[in-house]
Amino acid sequence: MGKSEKARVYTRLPMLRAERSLSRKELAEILSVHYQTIGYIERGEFVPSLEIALKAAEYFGLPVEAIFSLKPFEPLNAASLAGG
Amino acid sequence: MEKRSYGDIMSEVFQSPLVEKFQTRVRRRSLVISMGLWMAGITALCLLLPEAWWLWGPLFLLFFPLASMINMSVRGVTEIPISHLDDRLAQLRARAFHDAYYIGVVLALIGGIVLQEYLFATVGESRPLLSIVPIGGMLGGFLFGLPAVMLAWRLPDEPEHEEAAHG
Repeated sequence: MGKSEKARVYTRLPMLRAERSLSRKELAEILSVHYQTIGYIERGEFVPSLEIALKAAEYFGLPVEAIFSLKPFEPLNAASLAGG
Repeated sequence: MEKRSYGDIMSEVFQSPLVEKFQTRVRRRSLVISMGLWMAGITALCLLLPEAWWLWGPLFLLFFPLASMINMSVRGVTEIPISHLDDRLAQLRARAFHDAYYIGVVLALIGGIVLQEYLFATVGESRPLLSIVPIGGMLGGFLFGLPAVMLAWRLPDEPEHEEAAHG
């Protein structure tokens, strides 16, 4: 990746929030950030710090790489679930 | 009663629903333009009507509501202590101060040159020294608030659904 190219981080936060019926504001309070920051992270416009990523991982009980990725996430389907 | 820090109070003030009204790009930019007009007004008054010194006070008072509204329009990012901002807002603040520093130095240099020309390069012409005092005060205030002004001009509109904080 060139110097001028901005890193983009893909996230499953919208899906995880939807599963738990969490609003951006509620998640923002849990992660101690401004609620708009959640929106920026979800749209890939802001790369979250390690602290935010670890807090999110802890809250959702998932590894960080299951929530954030440098590559787009594959859509969930029966095959991916069966494969583990 | 729990003692609240200055940062806690400022954070709360800048999150109030009243403040959110100022946070659209159109309103932010309108405020910056108003600030520019205010500066032009002060400069014109001081240079064209230096004897109307009684007008300076009321005109100067306009600075405070304008500066406050600009601060509200950027959620007080340049006013709230950095320890009370999250990573993204802290980055915004750092960039605003960084850019304002360079622009401020250039503006101060230009201001110095203009002042020198105004005061000393007009041989035989009487220039009331007092009339440049308000211009200096205005430029000082503007430079002090420049990070917030630059941020107000640059910040994009937030997507509508985010204002409701749901979705």
